[in-house]
This record gives sequence, structure tokens and C-alpha cells, in this order.
Amino acid sequence: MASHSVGETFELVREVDRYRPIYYAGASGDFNPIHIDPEVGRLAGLGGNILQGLCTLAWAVDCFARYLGDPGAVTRVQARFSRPVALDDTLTFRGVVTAVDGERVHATVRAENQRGEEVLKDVAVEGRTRPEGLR
Amino acid sequence: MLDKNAVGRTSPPTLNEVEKGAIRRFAEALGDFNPVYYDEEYARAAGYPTVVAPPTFPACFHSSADLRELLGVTVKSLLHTEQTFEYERPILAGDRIFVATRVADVQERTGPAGRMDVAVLEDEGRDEEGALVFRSRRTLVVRSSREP
Repeated sequence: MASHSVGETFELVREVDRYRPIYYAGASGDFNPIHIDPEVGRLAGLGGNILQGLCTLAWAVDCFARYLGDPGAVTRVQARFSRPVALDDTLTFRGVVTAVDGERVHATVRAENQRGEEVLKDVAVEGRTRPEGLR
Repeated sequence: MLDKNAVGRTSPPTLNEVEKGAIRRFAEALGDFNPVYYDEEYARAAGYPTVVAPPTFPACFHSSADLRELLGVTVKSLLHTEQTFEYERPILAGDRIFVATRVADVQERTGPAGRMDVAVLEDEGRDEEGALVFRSRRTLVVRSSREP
């Protein structure tokens, strides 16, 4: 049976390619100009357009889903968006299991850019341990 | 400032049909190529009746919530600062989910840039039988102007 234990770690690295906010806008419907128009981002003092926070969060969740082995096993996700993510940033997600109680795995994920700055804060995720016999 | 009476105001449930193509496009937009999002046979072998949506897929659901109506102000700008998702079960292709948005809280906070309004909106998604599928909470910092 799949076992999880406190202190186990998992990691995912994602590069923010230049068109990522456009792809995410198209799929999610979040066409806020700050995400797709570099000029709007510059006027807001952000140096250009920025990635949707929910895209960053989706990657943090993916990092945990890979660890669980099943995205359908994720039961809870929580985060604060603490810093804008710019194009060409490289994000590193590092998770650690904080508790395992019966059928639930609890973990936190640290999400930082290439300068070591946290782009999400207080990321907490929770998932089901995989039932036996499921691939 | 935001209207304290807005708390509890709820939009009527709006139908969201979870389409296979929309799941695929959402997963592609994330650059996430887990076959459980794309491949029916793979998903069945993994124990699902059909393809699964990525956990944050409810981000693209619609509700009939009009922020101006819900909060009673004209929104000049919004900053999304916090997000929570809770799932009763995975979201699957073919699901018909009714999403309603409720104002869970409004607060006035004082930050470095002066006074700001914070609204917490809670979305609830239920299936056709009324069973809860997911709940999500968004915290928004709202710059608004009150209009007659």
C-alpha cells in the first residue's frame, strides 16, 4: 500500500515562458489586462505583464499531486499570493509532508523564484492516501 | 467602503458543464501533460470513469455573481490575495456543476497605501442532485467607488 510519512519532500521546477499568461488567460478566462498587456503591467510598476496567481498555485498543487501520484486525490489547497511572478522567472516548488492521519496527507509547499523570494505564502495542501489496488 | 450588509448576499446557482476539451485546454495552459487529464483509457485504468480535471479547474467556472451587485460598489480595481479550494470529490469530464457565489466577509483594513476594502467570496459547486462537489474562497482587495 502506498505509504506516506512525515518529513518526506517533493519538488517541481517550472519556467515561466513568455506566453504562459496568454495561454492561461485563454483557458481560464482571466483576461485581466495586467496579465496580458506588458504596457499595463509597466504602468502598474510591475515591469511588464505578470502571471496569474492561480497558475502559480496550480503548479504548487501539481507538485503535491505528483507526490500523491494522483491529482484526483487532492482534497484541499490554500495559499496567499505574496509577490508577482514575472515572465522568464524560474519557480521552484518544494513540499514537505507535515502530518499523516489515517487517510489524509497534509503538506506545505514553499514556492520561490530564482532570487529566493517567496511568490506564494502559507501554502497548505491536503490529499487522500491512495487506496490499495489503484495504479 | 464596502457595505457590511453585503455579507451573506448570494448569486443564484449557474450551470457549468465540464467539457473534455476545456479540461485538455486548461491542462495544456498549465503545461501539465499528466495523461489522466487527456486520455480516457489511462483515466479508467487509474480508477476514474473518465478524464479528471486539474484540481484548480474551478478557477474557470462561471457564476452569475456580479461584483457590483454583490458588493454594492463599482469596482475600480481588484487584487486577488488569497485562495482556498476544498473538494468533496474529483471533478470529472461530463460533470454538470451549479456554482453560486456568496459574500462571506467584508472588512476594512489599513495598509501602507491607506484604507482598503477586503472582500471574501465563497463559491460553492453542487451537482444536479445537490451534493457538494467543491468549495472555494477568494480574498480580494477592492478599490471601489460608490455609485448611486
